[in-house]
Amino acid sequence: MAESSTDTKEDKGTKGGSGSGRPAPTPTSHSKLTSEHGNTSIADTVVAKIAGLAAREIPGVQSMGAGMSRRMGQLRSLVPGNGDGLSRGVSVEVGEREAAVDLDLVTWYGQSIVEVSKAVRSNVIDRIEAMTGLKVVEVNINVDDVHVEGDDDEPESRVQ
Amino acid sequence: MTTVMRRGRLAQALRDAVIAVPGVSRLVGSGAVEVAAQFPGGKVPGVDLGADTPAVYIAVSRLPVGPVAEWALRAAQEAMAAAGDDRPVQIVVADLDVDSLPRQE
Repeated sequence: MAESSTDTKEDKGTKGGSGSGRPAPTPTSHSKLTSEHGNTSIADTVVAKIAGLAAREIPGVQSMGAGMSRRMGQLRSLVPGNGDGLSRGVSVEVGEREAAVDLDLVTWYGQSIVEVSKAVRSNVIDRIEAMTGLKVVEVNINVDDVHVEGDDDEPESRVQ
Repeated sequence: MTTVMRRGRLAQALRDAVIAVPGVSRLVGSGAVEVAAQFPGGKVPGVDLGADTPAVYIAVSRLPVGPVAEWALRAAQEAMAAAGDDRPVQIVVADLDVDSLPRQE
């Protein structure tokens, strides 16, 4: 996507024969991130963090990440200065104008997965589009596990 | 208006409209599978926006049940229309609050 748009710009620049050596700005671009005075690029990490936070805002989301990464994340969070884990369970693909998001999440037992995923999807789309101006073309949700309350509670101490 | 705001506000509007109907004692969100509309930072129990047809789960404290459900449906339809949503809406009588029923002499 990024390559094709660059090609178009170069074609226009050479065909137009402006002579300035810089490609002419594309007036057809509808992206809020591209202007005639320069382009704004947004890193994958930024979009991934926004998506992770947006998903966690929904009460039906217990945690994020597939099994192994969740366990590694718990270990990693014990090490100081080792990231905040906000983008755990999130993988994104970010282009010039569009973004696609894949989420791994864990929900609670007894929740409607349909409702949770609908709420997560619409919140992730809204937050990313509002904060970055990118158009979110798809949000794929993989419900990796169902958390049963009291499943991983600390065992009671044998001594008082 | 964004979709998330629409979701949250629609759920709250449906709850407020239906709970105001005389004979509707509460919305029912508990069960084997929780019925609740979820949005960032909260949920509205008893309102199901996950299905194609939104549904409101009510407990009734006035007999006969039929007219109460009918009024609740009308209230829900008005709330949907006010929110600019033209989908049909469904009322599910999920419980009967016997304690709040008038005593039969």
